[in-house]
Amino acid sequence: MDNSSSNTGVNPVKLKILILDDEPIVCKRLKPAFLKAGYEVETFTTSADAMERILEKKFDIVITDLKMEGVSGMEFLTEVKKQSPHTEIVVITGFATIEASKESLQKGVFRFVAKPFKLADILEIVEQLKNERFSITP
Amino acid sequence: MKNILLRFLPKFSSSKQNPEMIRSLFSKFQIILDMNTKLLEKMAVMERALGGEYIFDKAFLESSVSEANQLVYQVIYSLNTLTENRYSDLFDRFQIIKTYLEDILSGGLGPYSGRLTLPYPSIRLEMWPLTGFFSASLAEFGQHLGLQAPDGFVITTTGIRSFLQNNNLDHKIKEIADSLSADKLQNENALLTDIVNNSDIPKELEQAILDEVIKLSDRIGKNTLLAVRIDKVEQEASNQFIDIFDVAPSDILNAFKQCIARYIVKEAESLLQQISEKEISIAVAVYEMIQSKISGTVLTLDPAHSPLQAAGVAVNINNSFHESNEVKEKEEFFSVQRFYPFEPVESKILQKEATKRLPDDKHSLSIMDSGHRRGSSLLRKDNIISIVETAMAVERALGKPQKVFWSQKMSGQIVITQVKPLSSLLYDDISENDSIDDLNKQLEKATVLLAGGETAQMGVATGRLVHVAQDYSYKVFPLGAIAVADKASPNLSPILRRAAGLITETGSSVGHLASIAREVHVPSIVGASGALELLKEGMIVTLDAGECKVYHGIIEPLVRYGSSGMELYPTDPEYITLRQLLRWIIPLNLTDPDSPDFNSTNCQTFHDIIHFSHEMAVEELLNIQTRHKELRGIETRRLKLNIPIDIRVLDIGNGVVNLAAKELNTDDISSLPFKAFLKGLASNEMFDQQPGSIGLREILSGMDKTYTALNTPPEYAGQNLAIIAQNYINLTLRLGYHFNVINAYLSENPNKNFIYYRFVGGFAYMDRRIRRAKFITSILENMDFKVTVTTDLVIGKLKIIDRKYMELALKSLGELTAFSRQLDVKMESEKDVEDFIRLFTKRSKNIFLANRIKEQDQACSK
Repeated sequence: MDNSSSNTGVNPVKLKILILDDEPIVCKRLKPAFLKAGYEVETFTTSADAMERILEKKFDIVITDLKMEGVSGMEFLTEVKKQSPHTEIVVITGFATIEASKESLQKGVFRFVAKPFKLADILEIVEQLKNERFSITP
Repeated sequence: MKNILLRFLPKFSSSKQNPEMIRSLFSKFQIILDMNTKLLEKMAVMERALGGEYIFDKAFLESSVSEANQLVYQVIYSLNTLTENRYSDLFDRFQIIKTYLEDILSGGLGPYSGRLTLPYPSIRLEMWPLTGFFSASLAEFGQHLGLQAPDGFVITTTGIRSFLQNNNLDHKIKEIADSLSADKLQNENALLTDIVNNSDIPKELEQAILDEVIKLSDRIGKNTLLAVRIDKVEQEASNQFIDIFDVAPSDILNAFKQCIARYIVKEAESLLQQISEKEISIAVAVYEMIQSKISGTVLTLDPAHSPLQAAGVAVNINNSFHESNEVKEKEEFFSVQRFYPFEPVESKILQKEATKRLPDDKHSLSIMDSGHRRGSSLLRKDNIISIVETAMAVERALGKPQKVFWSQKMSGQIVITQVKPLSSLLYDDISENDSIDDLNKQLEKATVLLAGGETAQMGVATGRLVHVAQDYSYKVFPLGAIAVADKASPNLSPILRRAAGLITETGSSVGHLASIAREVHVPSIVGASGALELLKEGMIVTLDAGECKVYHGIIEPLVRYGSSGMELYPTDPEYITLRQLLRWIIPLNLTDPDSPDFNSTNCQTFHDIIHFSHEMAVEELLNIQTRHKELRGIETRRLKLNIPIDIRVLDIGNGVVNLAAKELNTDDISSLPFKAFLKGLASNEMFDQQPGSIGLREILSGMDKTYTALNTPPEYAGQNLAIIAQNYINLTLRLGYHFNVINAYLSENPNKNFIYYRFVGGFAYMDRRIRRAKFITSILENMDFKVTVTTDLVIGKLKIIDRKYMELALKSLGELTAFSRQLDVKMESEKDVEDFIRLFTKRSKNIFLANRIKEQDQACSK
C-alpha cells in the first residue's frame, strides 16, 4: 500500500485529490506532478485501501483506474459518489470500452482519460475541473 | 514455424493480361505502406514515453507490443503476396524478435537472459537485473556515453546460478548458516577454504569466463591487473560489495571462487533465500584496475552548500598523499558551480609541508606557467573542472544527483569508478516538507524567458546558454552548457553528449534529435519558436523541459527538486522494460539498400523488417512492368498530350475521373503524383522539339544501333505505360534508346511519401551519355535526392517528404524528362554539363533549385 499524504496546511484553498491505480509507477509519477501544481495528494495502489480512506476523509477530486484486482474502479467510483456526491471523478484507463465509458459517465464521471496520457493533459483536465466546479482561482 | 505460416499465404495468381492482378498487387503494396506508417507512429509513441512525457503502465507496454506484432506480421504477409513468397524467411526473423519481446514483457531480458557472461561493450544500463548496477553503469558511461570508466565483463546472475547448482551449494550453504551462528570467527576461514577447494566451475561457465578474459586482455592490454567484485543486483546501486583486487588474468577462476566463497560465508542466509525463491540476485564484475595517482568522490549536488548550485568534490588524502601522521582529516574539499564554467565557490585545503611533492609532482611553492606559485591544493583547477564536468554528465544520464567515485589515472585522465544515486539523501518525497510552496512562490516571482514548444525529454537543467549553428563544432561546446539552435537537426547529436539541456526553434518530439535527447537523457524542448531571440547567448537560466519553460537565473527549489519523481528515471522498472523492448523494435541497422548486407537474414529489429519490406516492395513495383511482360498486352487508354510522347494509362484505383473515356485528357487525371509530373513534362519551355545536333561519332555509334533496331526492337522499345492510382504512379518511359522509370507515392503523410527515379541508356556515344548522367545527377542532388550512378545508369531516391515539396519535385522530374530527352547528343564537352544545369534551372523556375545554384556560386566566389 502506498498511503502518504501531503498536508502542508499553508494554503487553505488546496484541493484534495485521491489517486487510485494498481500500477505503482502511475501513482509515483502523478503524485509529485499534482503536488507541484498545488494540490494535496494521497495515492493508493489497492482499491480496498482507497475504499477505507474515503470513509474517513472527503476528497474534492478522485482520479482512478477502472480495471483493478479486487474492488473494480467502477464499484469504487460508485462508493465515492455515495459517500460524497460533490467529489468529482476522473477515470484513467487503458481499457475504455464504450459500455464502461457510458456507465461511468452516468455515474457522474467528469472525464475519461485513455492511457498512455500526457502529464500536461491530465494536469490541464484537473485544472479545468477546479475552475469549473470549485470556482477557486489560483 | 515458417512452413506453418506459409500455409496461410494465398497462392500468388499470375493470371495474364488481368489488370485485377496489378490492382491486387498494388493493394498489398498499400497495406505495406499503411502498416509501415502505423508502426512508425506506434514506435514514436513508445519512444516518446521513454522521455517521460507520457504516464503509462504495463498494460500500455503489452498492448503496444501486441499491436506492433500484428503490424509487422501484416507487412511480411503482404510483401510475400506481392513477391510470390520470395521473402518468407522474414517470418523466422519476426518470430525470433517476437519471442524476445514476450520474454522481456514477462520480466526476462530477451536473448541475454541465457548468457553466463557479458562483456561491458554489450551491456546497457537497463540490463542491471542481469549484470548488477555497478557494471551496468560503468558499461553505460564508459562504452556508450563517451566518458572514461574501467572496461571489464560480468558473470551474470545466470552464470552464478549455474555455478551454485553445479556444486549443490544450497545444502552446503545451509550447513554454513548453522555453523556460523554457532562459532562465527573460528569457522569462517575453514569454510572459505572448503568452498574454494571443493567447488567446481561448470565447464561451460569456465570457458565463457576464460574467453571473456582473453577478449578483455585484447581490449585493455595483457598485463593489466583485474579486480573481481560481487555486486548485489539491486535497483540503483548496492552498498554491499565483496572485492578482490590486483588479480592477474591467469588467476581469474580462483579469484571468482574466492569471491563467491566470501559472499557465501557473509550472506549465507540471504543466499539461501535467493536459492529457495529461485531468484539469484548477485552478479560478479571483473574489471580493469585503474592505477591512479589520486582519487575521491563528487556529490553532484552538495546538500551542505546553499544556494544549491554547487557540486562538492572530495579528495581522498590517504590514497594520494602520504602524510597521514601530520594530517588528521582525510579529505580535501572543493565546492564548485554545477554548470559551466564550473567556477570554484569554496575550498578546504589541508596544510602540508612546502617541500612535499603533490600529485602532479610539483611542490606548493613551484612556479607555474602562469607565473604564480602552485599552492598546496591537492587538485589543480583544471582537474577539479574535469571531475565536475564528468560527474555532471553522469547526473544527466541518470536523471538525478549522484555520488560519483573518481580516480585520476597516471596519464591525468579522470575515470569514473563507481556511481551511487544521492536520492536517499536529497530527493525523496517532496511532500515531506514545505518546499513545494516555496517552489511555487519562487516560480511566481521568476522571469519566464520562454514558454512553449514540445518536450523531447523531461527534466530540469541549469546552465549558461550557448547558441549553436548547424555547423557548430561539438568539440568546442562547453560541457554542461544549454544549447539553443534553430533546427532540431541530427547534426547536433554530438552536442547532446556535452550539453546539460537543449532548446530548438523548430523540430518535433518525434524527430531524430529528440530521440537522441531521450537516449542520453538530456532535458530538451523542441519547436520553441523565437528561442534564439528570447534566450540570449551567455545568460544563466533554469530549463524545465517537462513544463516547456525557461526561467532567468537559477531557481533553486526547481534545481533541488528537479521534476521530483514525476519523471521516468532510467532505474524505474517500467523504463527498463520499455528500453529493453525498444532495443528490439526501434534501431535501424539496415540502412543501405545497396549494401550486400541488406537482406532479410540481417533484420535484427522490427524497424529493420519494415524498412527492408518497404524497400523490397518498392523495388517490386519499380520493376513491375519489366517483370510482368504480360502487361504489354493489357488494355490501356491513350493520354492525349500537347507534346509528341505517347503515354498509355492503366488506372488501378481512382487515378482517373473519366472512367468511360477511351482516350484521356490531362484533365481526366486525378492521380496526384501523375498530375504533378505531367505539369512539368508538358511544359513548352522544356520540351525542345528541335532535334539535337548529331556529330559523326553519334552517327557511327548510332549506326550500329539503327542497324540493330531495324532487325530487333531497340533495347528499351515498347509502350510508355503509366500505372496510376490516386496516390501512386509507376511510369515507365521507353523512348527507344533510354529507359526511364518514375515510381512515386504522394499523400498528406510524409512518412508514406517517396520518389524513386531511374534513368539509363541513350543514343549518343558513352562519354556523352555519362555527361547526361552527370547532369541528371546534379539536378537530382540539388533537389535532395540520394543518387547513385553506374556509368550511364542514374538511380535517385527521395523519401519522407511533405506533399508540397514532393509535388514540386515531381513537376521538376517531368521537366527533367522532357529536357533531357535528347540531351546526350548535345553533351559535347564537360562544360556543357554545367551550362545545361544552369539552362534547366533557369527554365524550370524551381525556386529550390535556383537557390541551390546561387548557394554554390556564392561558395565558389568565396
